[in-house]
This record gives sequence, structure tokens and C-alpha cells, in this order.
Amino acid sequence: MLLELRDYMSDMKRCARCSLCKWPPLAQVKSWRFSNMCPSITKYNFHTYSGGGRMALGLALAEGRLEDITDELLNIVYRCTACGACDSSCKYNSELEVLWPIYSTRAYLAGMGYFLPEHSMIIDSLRKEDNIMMKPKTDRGKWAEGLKVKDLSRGEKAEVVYHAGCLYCYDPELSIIARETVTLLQKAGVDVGIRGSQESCCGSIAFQLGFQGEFIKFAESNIDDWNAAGVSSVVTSCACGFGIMKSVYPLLGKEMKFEVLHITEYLDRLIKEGKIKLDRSFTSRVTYHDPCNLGRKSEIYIPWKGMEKKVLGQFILREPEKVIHRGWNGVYEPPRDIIKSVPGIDLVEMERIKEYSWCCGAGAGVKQCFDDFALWTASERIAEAKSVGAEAIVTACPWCERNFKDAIAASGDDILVYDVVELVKQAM
Amino acid sequence: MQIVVCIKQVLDPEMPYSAFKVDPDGKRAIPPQGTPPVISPYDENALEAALRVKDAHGAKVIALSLGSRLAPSVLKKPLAAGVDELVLIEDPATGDLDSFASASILAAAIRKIGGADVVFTGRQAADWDAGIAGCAIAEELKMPCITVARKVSVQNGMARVERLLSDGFEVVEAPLPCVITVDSDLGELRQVTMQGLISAKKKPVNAWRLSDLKLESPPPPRCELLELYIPKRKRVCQIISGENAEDTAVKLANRLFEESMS
Amino acid sequence: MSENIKVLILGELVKGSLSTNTREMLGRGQELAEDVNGRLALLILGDKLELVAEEAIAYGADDVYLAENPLLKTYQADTYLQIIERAVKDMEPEILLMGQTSIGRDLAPRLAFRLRTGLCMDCVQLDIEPVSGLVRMTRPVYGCKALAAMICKTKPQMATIRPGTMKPAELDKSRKGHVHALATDIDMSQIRVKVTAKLEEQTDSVSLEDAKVIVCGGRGMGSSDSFSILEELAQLLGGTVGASRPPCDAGWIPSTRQIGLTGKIVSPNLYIAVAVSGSSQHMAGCAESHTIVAINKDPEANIFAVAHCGIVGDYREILPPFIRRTREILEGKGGSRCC
Repeated sequence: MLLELRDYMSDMKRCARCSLCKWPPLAQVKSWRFSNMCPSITKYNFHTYSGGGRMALGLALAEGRLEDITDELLNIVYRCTACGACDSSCKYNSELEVLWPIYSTRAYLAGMGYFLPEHSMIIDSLRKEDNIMMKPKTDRGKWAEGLKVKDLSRGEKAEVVYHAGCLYCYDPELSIIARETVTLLQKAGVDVGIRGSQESCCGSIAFQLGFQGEFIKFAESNIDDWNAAGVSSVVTSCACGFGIMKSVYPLLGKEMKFEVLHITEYLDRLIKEGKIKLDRSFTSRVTYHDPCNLGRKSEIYIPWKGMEKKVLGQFILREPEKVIHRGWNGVYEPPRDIIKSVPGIDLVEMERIKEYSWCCGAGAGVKQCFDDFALWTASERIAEAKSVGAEAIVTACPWCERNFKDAIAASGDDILVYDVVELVKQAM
Repeated sequence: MQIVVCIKQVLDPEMPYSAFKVDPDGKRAIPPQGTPPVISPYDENALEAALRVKDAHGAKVIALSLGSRLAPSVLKKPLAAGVDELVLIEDPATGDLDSFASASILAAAIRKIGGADVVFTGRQAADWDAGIAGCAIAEELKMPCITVARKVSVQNGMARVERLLSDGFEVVEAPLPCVITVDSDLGELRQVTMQGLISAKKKPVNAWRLSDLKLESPPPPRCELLELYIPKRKRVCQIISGENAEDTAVKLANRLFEESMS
Repeated sequence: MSENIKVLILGELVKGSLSTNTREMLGRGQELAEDVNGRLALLILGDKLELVAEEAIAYGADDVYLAENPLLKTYQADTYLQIIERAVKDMEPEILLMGQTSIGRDLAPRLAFRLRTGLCMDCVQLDIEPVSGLVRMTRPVYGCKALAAMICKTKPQMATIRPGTMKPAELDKSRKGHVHALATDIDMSQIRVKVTAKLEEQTDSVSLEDAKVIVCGGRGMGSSDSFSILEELAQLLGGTVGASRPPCDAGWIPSTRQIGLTGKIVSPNLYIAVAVSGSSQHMAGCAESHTIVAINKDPEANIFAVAHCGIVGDYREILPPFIRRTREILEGKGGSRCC
């Protein structure tokens, strides 16, 4: 069940403006240069852009104090990648929900009919062509042309379905990675199939932009497709998709008869089982960038609705008990294990990693609507990677890759971007 | 040539089923969180009809919308699609309007705009599905009305319209000015492009109240709404199960055949 | 002109005799006329209508008003409005009904406007409110997701009646009634719209309204090619293929095959809905089918709330064995049709 903005009012009221949401957990700050965690407020420097500021904004909307929805307000709301860093940082100190009021604020505005014009183009594309890239549905299977792989949409059966995701299907530069992934899985003896042109978007961007109604339709359709296909696992390359499948799909109350895995989790399993042998050396000093949706945002979210009781005028007791998800249980080790098992690789960690990692800047519609903001955020991360002497950034999300590559092209930098799968292929 | 398209903002008819809820006391459907209102789908077909006439002959196309809690992001879409001007009529005094009252307000607005050679609107709105407003606007403006058009062309002061019949189509002609209600068979509204969105920002948007139309208060609804409710489903479906798809399919075929024999 | 006409129905003809919808309105109209202690009248416009008048009385009309004029043979709003407006102003009925048909949709709003009265379109139910004696008109709204009940305080209370929702009147040839001829002088200057051509739909297969078996495809079919398996099934069963709105909008199948609120209303013996979600707009078109079978991958699809039986699964896996088994059964019985 997806909660409404009003359900988060008590959390939004309790924000004490401590500003922790703007920084990594203080014990993890390693330098002044990279001591920010919220790209939004770091760039725009006005409290409303931070997690706490967005709580205040959401509260004002829910209490009816913001009647005039101006274009500037919409810009403030949507200049945010919903990366969840504020949420994780806040939870080092308290038990407030920060990310979900941000989602609900967007859903609230969308329900009233307020959104950016680019959003309407994305959603129209989703409704008509089942993808957010504004490309035709019939071209969705083209990335797999020539690949001898089972097509589940033609009634063939497989144990594992590989969900490539909109970006991998339609971006020619990135489709190669999807092809390599399928070939890898097949080499490892996995009974894998794809859905070709009948694959449809996971609905992640629709959800993050606030179009929860649209999201529900796509999520339910995907669950039904995968249930009907009888697969035991859904493996996806798209971190955005993975995050939403793990954290939000279960909230719809539909039985999911399959396991959802990210390709890094799956490959890690295969490497540890010895089905994939990495024997070729690949010498490089690389760093790993934790995608938000693979890491802190992929934790299962359990919405809380119940009774609160104040004890001794200070402590809040909740009935039923609230399960707090802090982002600590995201997928962090599997990609690192994969990288470390490549012979010759030197993995160095950046300063802001795991659940307090700095966003790449592409999420939640920012890449489509505020490309300058997205590129600036990426350039900050690239600077961080260079500061630890990395020659390449390795990541596991197509949006991160796309954004980093665009930022590097814009700045003329010489740092490289690898997907985890590319590394594995190099090492075989 | 001046063309007016009357568009209505409605709750999204394609919202997920679970999102549709009714407030029994207020006798209205509740706008769901996370699903924006949209322009009624047949009104989008009407916009397309108008834009095609504009493409062929050149015309000024004005989109006109009457309602409450009108959402600019939703209603600016026609501007991005090629419409030249947008007029929004919103007034707290309107309350609940029925089709006839809406038609009288829209007609007054069309007169204020300076009249129209053609008035397009959708054949029915996706909320009340009544299909009254189009004809009522024509009666208010004393214009002929052609309904359920699937193809429209304008020539020498005449409109030539192909319209749907239950068993086919007929072609009719009427002198301008006239009102035409449009069916989805005409075709979908053209895709909105980035350039369209950018140029939309510069196009004029006028917001009027009833006083701007020299109307004191709208006529009261001709029918009184007693109740609005979601009906309970009675039937129980028998889901046929089997070991696999083949087994289930065979069971279904057998069962249907048995039933037809009895 | 008879006195005390309380219920007036505008009738329509199909191939020279009263349409089923008209007989349905007469059926309910009789009951309403009794409830309000008045007479039931039927108004027909056309040409050469004597046999129709007899039929109308046998189906329950106390009075039949005929407006005969070659100009009225084909429906035209400008001509029909003149005649009907005059007739209603003379008769002053309490209740005025017409069909939610191609004619009714075009005519009723204009007539209601000119009579300065309220109108309830697409009614599925009519009841008399006990206290006020007014008609409670119930109609589906929000794409048939909800029902609205309304009353109209002005006269006549007007409603258009959805076909297939009321029980048709029974034929009783012993019934007696009066036939009246209406003056049909038409002001030609009021005719502004001219019909210049008529194109009837060219189809080889049975029309949707007449088909006994319909195989319907929905959005879940995925593409226009996938409709070929539905054609195969329909042919095997001696039926025809229809679609819900999304395949028509997507261009996979002509829109004349659309079944639903703004498409065709059908009532076959067997309705097989394949990959159809069962939205209310669509169900409005097929809910009166005798047996509805649904095949859909979504166990919570609305179609399962309305179907009699069904299978949850992918149609691509279910239809081929279903067709094979059906063929076996039919061939085993010497090729006779089962429905």
C-alpha cells in the first residue's frame, strides 16, 4: 500500500532542521572537499533544496499553506534526484522518513495536475510505447538481434528472465553491455530468456516523478507477466529497476512468484560457484561507484501506519513497532567482490561510499529535465574518483554510466567508465 | 478563420482500477494521489481535428476550458501541440455545473472571444459520458451541429464531415459557422515535441471569471443528482486450473462444450 | 390528440419494424405509465408506417403517433426536431424516452435544450420515486466505473435508454389502441445539414451485433499479428472477432470492430475475452453476453469479476491447445457447431 502525503505529517513536523541530511554521517567525512552529500543543496544553496527543506515543503503542502503552485516551486521540487542520501544520513540520528515524503510530495503535486512539461512527454511515451525513452515499442527487441536467446514472449520457457531495462534496450552505446550480459549468463550455463519487444518499463521513473497511478499499472503488468511465464528469478541490469522492484513492487500486494536479483548479485553467485572463471588479467586502478538504487534504495521498505505515544515528553513509542530501513542492507559487497576477483585489478574506495555515496545525478527525471544539474553532479563524483587516483569508475547502473560518460565528454576528461559486466568480460 | 476547441479537464479514465474512489456524501469521485487529471480523450481528438484544419487552411485555434481546480501543466498541452491561445474559465461561483449550464457559459465565452467559424469538441467527456454539451453549445449559438465526426474538411464556407453511423458512415455538409463533435476514429492528437513545449511558453493564456463573461450566476442544474456510487459485483468467476497451460486449456474446452450441450 | 399521455417514447425502426430497443422501452414504458396513471404513446417518424402502428399497439402502446413524410425516411436532426418538438409541446407528457442510439445521441440533447428540460443519457434503470412520483434515472458514469441516480423536476423528464438493459414488451395482438397522424409540415429553411453520401460497412463476416460467438482481443494482445490466432478461433467456432478500444486506437484492428461504451453493444451466446482487462467501458459493450470466458495473465483483472469462467495465464500458451482441443471435439461430432 502506497501512503499519501498526509500520512507522513508527523514525520515532516518532527524535522528539527539539524541539517544532517546535507552531509554524510559526520564520522564518515574524510575531507572538506567531499563533505557534501546532497547534490541539490550543494548546488542551489537554499534550505528548501535539502532533505529537511523538502520535509518543510511537503508539510506546507499537506497543511494547505502552499496554495499557489508556481513554476519556481516545481523547479525546486524536481531539482532532486531522490537519491535517498538525506534519508540515510537522517536515520543515523533519528527515525524519520525523508525519502518517502519526497516521493509523496511529487505524487501529491502530480495528482493535482502539476508537473514539468518534460514529464508529460515521458509519461506519454510510457503510456503509448511502454518505455521512457520516447522510442517505438516495436524497436525494443532490436538490441538482441542476432543473439541466440530464448524469447519468452513467444511462449518459450526459461528459469531466469533477463530484464534489460529501457536504457539498455534503446541506447546503442549501452546495448552492447546488455548483449554481453546475456552471452555471459549463457556461457555460465544459466537457462536465461528475454521478453524482447514485449518487455516493458519497470515503472521506476514514473514512480519517482510522482505518477504513482501509471507506476502501479506497469508494476502489476510486469508481475503478472513474470508470474505467467513461470520464471523463478528475474535478473535485471537496470539498477533503477532493481531498486523499485525490491522496495516498491512488494507494496502492491500482488504475489511475486519469483526472486528479484540484480545482475551483480547473480554474477557474484556464479563466480563464487565457479561457473564463471576470471583468469585473464586486467590491470587497472579502479574505483566503484555505488548506484543509489542498487544500494540504499533497494532495501525493502515497510510503510508504517499506526499509533504514536509520547513517553516522558520526549520519546516516541510506536504501536505497531516501526521497522526502520537505513539503507545499510543494500547491494554493496557483490559488485565489490566481483571487481576484486578480477586478476590485476586494484580497487580503491572513494570517500563517500555505500549508503552514504554521492549520487551520479541522473535519477528521478533530473537527467531529462535539468541536464546541467545532472552533469554538474556527475563532475563532482568524477573529481572524487580522480582524487583517489582511479583510472576508471566502475558502476552497475546504465543511468550512472550514461551520465558519467556525458560529463566526461563535456569536460574532455580522460577517466574511463566501466560497467561491472564489461570488467568481467575483459577478465574471461 | 477562427476555430474554438472546447476541452474539459477530467480525472484520468485510465487510472488504475484500485485508485477510483467515490465520496458518497459529496457525490463526487475523489482525485487520486499520483494520477494527474487529463484532457478528456475525445477532446484531444477534437484538438487534432482543429489542428488539421489549421494545417490545411491556416486558422487561429483557441482552446477553451471551463472547470474548477484547472491544472496549467495539463491544459497547456494543446498549446504545445499547435493551438495558438488558451482561455481558462474558473470561478468559485460555478459549483456543480451540468452540461446545459456549462454549454451556456462556454457559448458566452465563445461570443466574447469573437465567435468562431468552427467549434470543435469531443463527442462526450470521460467523466460524465453524457455527450450533451456539444449539441447544447450549438443550440446556444444557434449553429448547426454535426456529431461523431471521423473526418473533417472545410471548403468555401462549408464543412464536409464524415460521421459514424451504427452500420457504417455518412457524409454530411453544413454551412459555417457550425459545431462539430469528434470521435476517436478521427485520430490521436499529434505527439508533442520539445520545440512545441518551448513555443508554448510564449503563447497567451487568459483566465476569466463569470463576471468577465457578463454572467451573474450560471443556470441551476436541470437534473438533481441523488446518489453516486460504485456498484457491487455479483458474479463469481470460476477460474479453471490445471497442471500446466495445455491441461488448463483442454479443461476449458471440455467444459464449454459440455455446457453448450446442456 | 389523446388526453393524459404520461409516457411518450420515440420509436426507431430496423428493416421496417420496431427495433428491439424500442420494444424494450415499450416494455418498461407500460409499467411506468401504469405507475403514473397515464397513457403510453409511441411516436414514429418515417414513411409508410401503417403496419408499424399495428405492431406498436400489440407491443403495448395505447396511442401511436405517426409522422409520415418521405423527408423523414432518413434521420436528420433539423427535420426530426421540428416534428417532435411540436408533438411534445402539444401532448405535454411527463416522461419522454428515446433510445441511446445513433439517433438518440444526436437528437436528445437538442430536444432537451429546446424544451428547457433536463436529460439523463444512457440510462440503465428507471424507477418511480415513492414520495415525489418523479422518475429516478440511473446511469453509468466515469467510464461505467460508477452509477449516478438523478431526478428531473421539469417536464418532460427525458432519458435515453441503453439497449439491452430492460425487458422488451411481449406481443399481444389482442391489445387495442389509437393511431393518430401528425402534421408533417417542415420548414425547409431550418434544414442546414445535408447528407451527401452514405457508406455502409463492407464486411464478409457476420456483424458483431448478430454474431453468436465473439472472440475479443484486448491491449494484452501486444500487436496486430497476434490477432490472427483470434481469427482462427473465431472461424472454428463460427463466430467473429472483436476488440476492446486499445487495439483499435493502436491500429491493430479496424475501429468498426470495437466493442464497448462508444463502440458496438453485443450479446452473443459465447464471448471469449483474450488479454482483455475488462475495463468498465468495454464491459458496457458485452456484459449481456450469455457466457463470458476470460483469458488474462492478471488474476485481479476486472474481467474476472464479470466473466463466468476463465484461465489466468498467457494467451500465447493457452490458446493453441484450446484451439486444438476444440477442433478435436467439433470434428468428433461430425463438424457441427457447438454454439
